[in-house]
This record gives sequence, structure tokens and C-alpha cells, in this order.
Amino acid sequence: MARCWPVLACFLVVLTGCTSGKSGSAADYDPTKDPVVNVATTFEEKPADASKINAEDTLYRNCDGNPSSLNPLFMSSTYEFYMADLLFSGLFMFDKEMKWQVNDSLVESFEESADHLTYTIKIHPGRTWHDGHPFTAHDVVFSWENILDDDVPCPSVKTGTDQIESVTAVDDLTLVMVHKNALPTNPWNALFPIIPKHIYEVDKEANPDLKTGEHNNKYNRGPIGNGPYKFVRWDQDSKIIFERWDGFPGEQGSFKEMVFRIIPDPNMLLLRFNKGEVDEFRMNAKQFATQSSEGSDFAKRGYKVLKPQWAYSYIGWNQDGSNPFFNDKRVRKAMAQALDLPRIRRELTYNLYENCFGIFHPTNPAFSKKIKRLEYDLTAAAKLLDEAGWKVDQSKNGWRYKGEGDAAIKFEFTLLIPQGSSLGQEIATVFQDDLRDLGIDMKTQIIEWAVFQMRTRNHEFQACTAAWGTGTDPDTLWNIWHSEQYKADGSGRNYGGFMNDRVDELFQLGREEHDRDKRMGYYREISEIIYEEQPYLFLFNRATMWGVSKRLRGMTWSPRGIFNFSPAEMAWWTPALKE
Amino acid sequence: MEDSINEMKRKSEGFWRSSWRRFRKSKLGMIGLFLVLLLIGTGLLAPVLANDQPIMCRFKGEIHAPGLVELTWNIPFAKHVIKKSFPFDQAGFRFRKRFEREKEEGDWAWLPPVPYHPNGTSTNVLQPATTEHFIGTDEVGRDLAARMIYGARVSMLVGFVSVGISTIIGLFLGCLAGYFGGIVDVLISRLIEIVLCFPVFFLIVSIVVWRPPSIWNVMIVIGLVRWTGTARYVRGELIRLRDSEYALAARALGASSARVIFRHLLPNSLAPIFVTVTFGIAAAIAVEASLSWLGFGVQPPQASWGNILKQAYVNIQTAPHMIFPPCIAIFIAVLSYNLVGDTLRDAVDPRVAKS
Repeated sequence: MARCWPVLACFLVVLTGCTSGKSGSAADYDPTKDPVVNVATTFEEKPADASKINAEDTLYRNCDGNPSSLNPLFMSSTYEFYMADLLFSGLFMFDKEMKWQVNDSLVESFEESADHLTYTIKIHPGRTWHDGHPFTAHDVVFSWENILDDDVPCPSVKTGTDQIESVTAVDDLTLVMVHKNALPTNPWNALFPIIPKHIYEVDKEANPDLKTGEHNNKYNRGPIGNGPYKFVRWDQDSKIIFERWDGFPGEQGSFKEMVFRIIPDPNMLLLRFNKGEVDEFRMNAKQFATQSSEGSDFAKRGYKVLKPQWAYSYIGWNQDGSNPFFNDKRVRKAMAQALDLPRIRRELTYNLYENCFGIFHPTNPAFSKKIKRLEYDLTAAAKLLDEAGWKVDQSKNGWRYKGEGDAAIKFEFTLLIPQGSSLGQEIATVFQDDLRDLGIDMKTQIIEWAVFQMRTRNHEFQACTAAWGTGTDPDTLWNIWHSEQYKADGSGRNYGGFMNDRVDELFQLGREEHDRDKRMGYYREISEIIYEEQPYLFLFNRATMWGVSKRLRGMTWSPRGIFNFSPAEMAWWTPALKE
Repeated sequence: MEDSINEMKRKSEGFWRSSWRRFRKSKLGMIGLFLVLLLIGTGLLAPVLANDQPIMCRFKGEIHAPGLVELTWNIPFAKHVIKKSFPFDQAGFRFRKRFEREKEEGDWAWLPPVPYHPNGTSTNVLQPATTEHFIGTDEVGRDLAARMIYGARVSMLVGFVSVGISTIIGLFLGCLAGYFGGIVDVLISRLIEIVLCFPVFFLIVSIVVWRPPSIWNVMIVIGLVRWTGTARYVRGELIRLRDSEYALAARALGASSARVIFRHLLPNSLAPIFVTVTFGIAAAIAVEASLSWLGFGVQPPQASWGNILKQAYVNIQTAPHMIFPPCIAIFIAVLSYNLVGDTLRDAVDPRVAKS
């Protein structure tokens, strides 16, 4: 037992030695003055002279855990989609402006009928899968059939794809795709992933879900794709290795290998970047502002990329009437005025996240300049709450109550926070403190992500905090804001029960309108109504924050981030080493 | 003759007294006990050690004692009887701000040594130790010392409540199995083996799926799963004692089974239980800290050592000052309970003490 004392003594020494550490406050961080942010070389385009490019380099990337599957039908996390883009190549794609394109390397010709209903697609002859098996129209038909097959559990891919009436193979290389309706979103609905028929038909009868069974499992963990990189090896909990596929008909990647290191912890990720074991990684606000300034270990090896992103964080109110608080617009507005966002942006997000004006980013064509943000103002919030009938009751410890006598209801609600969202918890703490001043008792509950999703989908919450990324077209917001998307069975994404007839109507108009300007007008009006109604407390627009090795060049970005569009990492390169 | 009389006197000093005498001889045990009492004291005195409201004050000519009132709330249900005076009972009342502004002549305030509420945020974020904040602040500007003090409260609560539950269950089932034997023993022993296989941690994490995460759930689950050690101990003791002369005598006099067990056998087998209790508390504190670290234990903003440690870890690069207080507190708490348990084990066993 006596051996314990030296240990304790050491602890105390370390403690006293550390109390004089320098202040970590970075409230005055200004990214525009940071010399390692958005350095020009990072964005330098690929030179025409191939000898200037290092063709033997390996790009070390990262992944926050073992992927659940490498079959594009079953992917759900961001990192899994990064991998899918390398392994698989589809008939269509979109560029960094989110514009839809035909994939010329696979498609020889594409025709759209005058009524926008029928696509006729001819595939280049001689295209193959990684194993040399020909890529044909039958693969596309097989994939479409399986995505819509109820036995195959791939709900995220099913939405959109189910708007296609039929996909038929006229011959080996000719496809006819018929849409149910002439929607402006049809091109995006045709973007479903394609899997090799010759691999997955083998076990389709015994294991129709394409997921279970030894055969399916083998190919879901080591897929045969047709993308620019092919699968080499998956070392559980350590790394996944892809290798450039020389048979790829499109633009070749500059890197011979891509290695995804599995690193779940963000602190560890930064340390491993600093050691040179990772070449690119998503940074969090804290790392960006306080752990990577000039002179730090980070800055010796890397640069930072900061770009706007079409994604916003929010606190969502459940206004379906299941709680007595949030179906009143005045209450929701009061909440928006009770949150000290300037302080949160300054102290918790280090000025890296921009003000949010509702569902569209200021750079989105559907953004409305008419929206005026609700400012932090506790007096105004208190007034709104009084008007809504929530009065401070001094005889009951100063909390706000509504109603008389025993029937009086206390203003007390619970905010759900997904586990792992430390920023969400910090925001909640600040909010809680201000709400207490107003006489509102906010409790918090941190729950595991899967449970969080289940509870929000089933409308079993009062308030929750999360973030939405914006889809490629504003019509994708239909499934968040249209009243028909409030479903009892939990299949819709209108979690909070937002109902507005005009918004429903505008979504319908937008879906049928083919004139772009008119269409954007409808969505602008939708965003104005939604901001006015405050179904969400809009927190801030997130930003793309990336740490990249100094040797990397050719980086591009889109409103969705730096991956998942064409060409993204296919345009990256590193200069050739001098002999 | 003299010696044997002295011997008799010493024997008659009683089990508890002699155990205490043996306990006192161990320096480490005494240090452990001192630390345990210090932790319990910190937990109980939290409202007067760290609070944004004064222990006592004169505000606008009236005497208030909000800190002392909160202190009485340590007594169960006292919260419903003893209430703070207006305006200290109001949720939005900020004493320090109001006192500065509305102070009248002759007003005074006796503030706690750490004059902050554990959940009161400020704009002084991630500050290292200063004279204002003894061990610094966290990322939303809350005083760490205040949070550590309230964290001690949580740790003590978890330790005592969960071990309380497990001890009651363990004692009861252990007595039944040990005294009656036969089929009862077989059934209870199998049950013990089944429960022994439950991984406490995963059980709690999975319970979160259908019950909201809360400290009470954590305590109940730890209590419901951790009783096996106690039960096995008691069962063994009762098997040993049930055929002893005094048990036979009690039965011969017509005492009921319940009386024999609870009046005669159980008090004689209690000593080793205290050992499992102290170790149990140490283990429960560690489990609570790890759960809070994962976010499944104490819900924010309530402070616990586990969730302070979690925040500290997130900020380890920029604010290393945060990581040490919770680490040291958990270390000392677990160590001191184990020291007490260790010493107690020797102290209640006369054979070890004599050798």
C-alpha cells in the first residue's frame, strides 16, 4: 500500500507545475488574419506537364471508425461515402457548383425526352468492373431493382430512387429510364449507386438482403467496384487501403494509393497529423482556432482550409401539440431571443461559424435577403413570454407558469443532445443559464446517436439539437418541411411537426416549375415563412474546416464540403520529388 | 491470576471496540478514513463551500441565510419544509449582481469560500488558476472548484445509494441461501452465477435506450447487479454459523427462522460485509466516473468528476489545467475507500490481527 504515495506525490507535482499554463482563450481569433488559412498553393491546379506530378505518392486519409459496409447501398456515414466515391463510378455525377452532369467516361450518349420523362442512355462498350467483368446495362437494372426491393435494407438510397417508374435494358449497353412524373429533381433521382450484378446475383436467392451470408459479407467488406480506386485490404481498427485502378476510363487520380487510417478520437487525429501519419482531416473549431496557429506543431506540417458550407446547426422545437410550450410562435421567438448567439459564436466557435438566416446559406440562389435575424434580447423575450401567457410566479420560486391554481403548468422542458456533440452541450449550458434568468427550467439529456434518431423520428422529444446539410436541390427540403412528412410511423423527417399550408403549396409549385428563377422565388418565400415561424432556433452556418498537408495541391470545395462531387480528390496532386 | 483477569477484561471489550483498536494501529487505514470523512464532509457542506448565494447576509435591511437553508436540504424531504426567503428563492435571482447594485447601508454578506454556483457560466473561459478561480474555469466559464465540490456530492451519493441497494439484496438472498440450504440454496446460487455474468457497463448503456439517462438509473443498476459478492459472503458465513451452538440453542428455544437469522446469525456475520461495502463504494465511484465520461451518467449541467474529466479531455491541448483536479479526486476517492476496506478487512479478523 505504501507504494501508492510516490504516485500521488507525482500527481501533485504535475498539478503545481501546470497551474501557470498560458490562457487558452481564443475569443479574439480572426481566421482572416491567420497566415496558414487558405494558402494559395493548396488550391494550385494540376499542371498539364505530368512529369511535375508525383505519381507514386500515397495519400493518407482518415475514418472515424470501421465502416459498417463498403457496399454503396448500405453506407450511411460521411466517411463511408468518401470511400464509395473512390470505389464506384455512376452514370451521373455533380460538380462543385452542385450542377448535375452526365459521366462521360461511362456514358456514350444521353437523351432526355421532350416531356422530361424518359432518359435513353448508351454505355461505352468495353467498360469493366475492377475484376475485368464487363460493365453493362444489366448491372444498372439489377441495382435499381435491388434498391427498391423491400428485402434489401437501404432506406437512405430508396428515397428518390422510388420516383423512377422503370429501368430497362434494351440491350447490353442501352438503358431506358422512365420517371413517374416530370420533376425537376429527376436528374438527382437517377443518381443511385450501381453494384455489380455478377457478384451479388450469386447469393440473391439464399440471402435476398445482399447483406448477410458469407458471400455477401465477403464482397461488402472487399467490394468489386468500377471507380478510380480499387480495394486492396482492410485491417480492422487500423486502416483500409485502396490502390489506383489503371483500367479506369475517366480522369486518373494522382495518388498511387489512398490509405484510410481508422482514428476515432479527434485529439488523436490532430496528433497523428502533426506526426505526418495523416495528410488531410476535418478539424473542429477548437483545433482550428487554438491548436494550429503559426509556430505550432500543426503549422510545421500543414495548412488550413476554411470555406463556407451549406449546413446549419439548430435547436428544433416539437410543435405537434405533444407539449404545451412550443406550438406557440411567440414562445419559439422568445427562445430565439434568449440565446446569446454572439457570445457562443465568439467563445465557443471562435468566430469560425457564420450567422444563420434560416434554411438557406447566403450563397444559395434560394437565399432571401429580406430575412432579418432575431437578435439576443432577454427583455424582448420576457415580453413575448408574458404575452403568450407564461408568467413568472414569485410564489413558486420565480419559474414561469401558465394557467391558474393546480392546473398551472411549469415551463420546464428537456433538450435532447446527441452523445459526442460537445459543442451542443456547451451551447445548452449557456442557454440554460439565460433561460433560468427568464424563469424557464431547461433540462438536458445526452443520448446515444441511434436512440437520438429514433426518438426524434418518432416525435418523442420536446426540443433537440442537431444539424442539417443542404441537399443538391432545394426540393430535397420537402422531406423536412412538408406537412405530409410528419408521419406517425417515424418514416418522415418533419420531426417537429411543422405545418404550413402556404409552404406545402410552394413546395408543390417548386416541384412543377421548370423555370429556374421562378422556382427559386418559391423557395425564397418558403425560407421567409420558415424563419418567421421559427420551427427551429437557427444557431449558425457551419463551415468546412480542413487541415491539409503542405505538399497537397489542387484542392477544390463545394457547398457540401471538399468531397462528394466531381472531381474533388481526383484533382489533388503533389509535386514530383526533385531527383 | 492478575494476567488472566486482565485477559478477561480485554475480551469483554467487545468486537467493535477491538476492531477499532486494531484499525487505529494502521496508519494508512487512518489516512484513508480521514480522506473518506473529508470527502463526505465536502459533499455534505457543498452549499456553504461553493455557492453564488451567501451563507448569511443582510440584504436591503433584512437578514437572509440561503446557504444555511440549502445545507438543511441534505436531510431528505427537508426541501419541502424549509424554504429560502424571497428573493433568494427566485430562479433568476443573481445575488452578486443585485447586491452590488442595490446594496443599502449596513448590508453585509458572508460568502462561501468559492463564491460561484457550479452551473453559473461567465465569459472568463478556460482560465487557469487565479486568485479569483482557485483551479480555473471551464469552456463556458464555470468555476472548476465549485464543480469539483458538487462532483464530490455526486460521487458520495452514487457510492452510498448503489452499495446500499446491493447490500440489502445481497444480505437478504445470502441469508436465505445459507440458512435454508437445499433447493433454495441451489436456486439462489444459480441466480448469483447468472447475475455475476452481467457486464454492468453494457447493461447501463443498453438501459439508456428505453430509460432516460439519469444518475438514479445508474445507481439502481449498479445496485441490482453488484450484490453477488455480498450474497456469496453472507451465504458462506451462514452455512458456517447455522449449526453453531447458539443457533441450535435459539432454535431449541422455539425461535422462528427469521429470528434466528436476523437476531443471531446475521449480526455475527456482518463484519466482513463492511469490507465488501467499502470496496463496493470505491468501485461504484469509478463506474459513475466512467459513465459520466461517456455521457450516460450524470446529465449536464450537473457536475460530476466524470463529466468534468470529459470536458478536460476535449480541451487538453489548450487548457491542461482542467485535467488534474478530477483525476486526482477520483484517484484519491477510490484509493481512500480501498485503504479503509483493506484495513477493515484485517481489523475485523482477529486471527490476522494477532499474527
